[in-house]
Amino acid sequence: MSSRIEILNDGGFRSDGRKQYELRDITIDLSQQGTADGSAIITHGLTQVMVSVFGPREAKMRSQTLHDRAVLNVEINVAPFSTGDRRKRSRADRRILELAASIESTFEPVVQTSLYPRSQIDIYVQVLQQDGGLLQACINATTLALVTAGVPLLDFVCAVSGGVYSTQPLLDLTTLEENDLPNLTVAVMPRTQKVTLVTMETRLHVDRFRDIFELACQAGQTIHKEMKRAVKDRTVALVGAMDTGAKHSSVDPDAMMEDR
Amino acid sequence: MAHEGGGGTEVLAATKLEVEDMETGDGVDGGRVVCSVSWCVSGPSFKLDEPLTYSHLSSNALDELQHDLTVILQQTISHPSLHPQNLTIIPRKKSWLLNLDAVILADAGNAVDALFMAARAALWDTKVPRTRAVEYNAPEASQVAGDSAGAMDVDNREAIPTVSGFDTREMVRTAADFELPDYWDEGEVLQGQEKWPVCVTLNLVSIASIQCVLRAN
Repeated sequence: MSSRIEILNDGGFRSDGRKQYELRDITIDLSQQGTADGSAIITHGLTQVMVSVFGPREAKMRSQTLHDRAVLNVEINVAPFSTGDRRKRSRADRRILELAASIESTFEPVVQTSLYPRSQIDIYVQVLQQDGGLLQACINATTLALVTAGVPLLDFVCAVSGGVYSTQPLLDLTTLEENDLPNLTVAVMPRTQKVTLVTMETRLHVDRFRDIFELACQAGQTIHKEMKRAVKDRTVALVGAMDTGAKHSSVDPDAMMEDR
Repeated sequence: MAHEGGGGTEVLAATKLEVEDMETGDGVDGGRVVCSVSWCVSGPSFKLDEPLTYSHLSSNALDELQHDLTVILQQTISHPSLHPQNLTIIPRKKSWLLNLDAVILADAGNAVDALFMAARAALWDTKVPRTRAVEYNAPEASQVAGDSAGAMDVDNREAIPTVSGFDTREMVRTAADFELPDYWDEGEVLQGQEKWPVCVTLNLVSIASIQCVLRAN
């Protein structure tokens, strides 16, 4: 096949049928995984990432702790079947270490680490499927996992990837688009509009940067809405389960049926 | 993909097929099966009531554990008696490499059984894309000697009464490459479905400890 796939055609549609500023489908699953204190699975289109958070807890090695704050430890495991070409990446792969370092530096100012001196918060990221926007998905999933773990945060961190196709900005890129276009990832804290991460590995003309940067910050608000909704639904479900348990013990069975 | 759980133990297994060349690559006639196991979180939890502590499990020990499980899975699944029949694309030239990757998402014991359950489920769902052997025959030099345009002229070639390049009857012996007849076709099911094994682990509890338990009651 020699026909090139158009990144953005004349009708304003991208290769997967989205419009220019349209984000991919987001699904959030906050159910408990294993023995983790908090966990979240987020899907952006075909990119699926699962994050488990343990902590704050006693550190593996006392020598790595800080006397006045908690230490964030991020470990990433990329499944060999996650990309189109199956490739087994070792845990010490440079790209993976860089990704882990980005996530750690993103959350360092957001997690209220000073509340837990001499302890460690472990964040384990498992990449199940990759179709572009990996850093974005990892950061969003980490935020949700930290929230479900009950780790105090200053605010949500919402990340979005974006790119520029000649002069037109696009949001939430797939692998195809990431390979072809200059792209960046922006992570914002929605309430204060503060940006905790901006990263770009390609080259982009400085005149184009402003548009895509502002657009990405706005897109962070949209993602924030989705995340808040998912957290609220989960909390309502948990509170409902707790209430039902309380009712069972205090009210006699006949009266309980009428409650429903 | 198949997702299997066993209470606190969760394993995710996925298969991927890759084309392998026997002459230039590692391909084997009839295809081959390769398995791998990796951990999601840093290792099994030995105490359920306490949060995960791996102070006794260094990364070396973890790699060894990973290797042990990989070997168990690999040696069982790739046994010749279980080898699927439809992993050949072109005999002696190209074949499928079946990669079975398992990720242990949570381990609360008996990971081996869960691994085999997940592997079996993943292999059961695997579909091998249908391929068709293709060979291109260039027309012989003597017949195009008179052409002004040379051998690349399509119209003149068709006028020459040689055997058509698309005649597939004798092709299987001499085929050089393959194509996918239908892009959207999922393919045929991986053969040998009914033979994939299920693992049951038997643990021997010492008789002395059973006696102690009985006496306490």
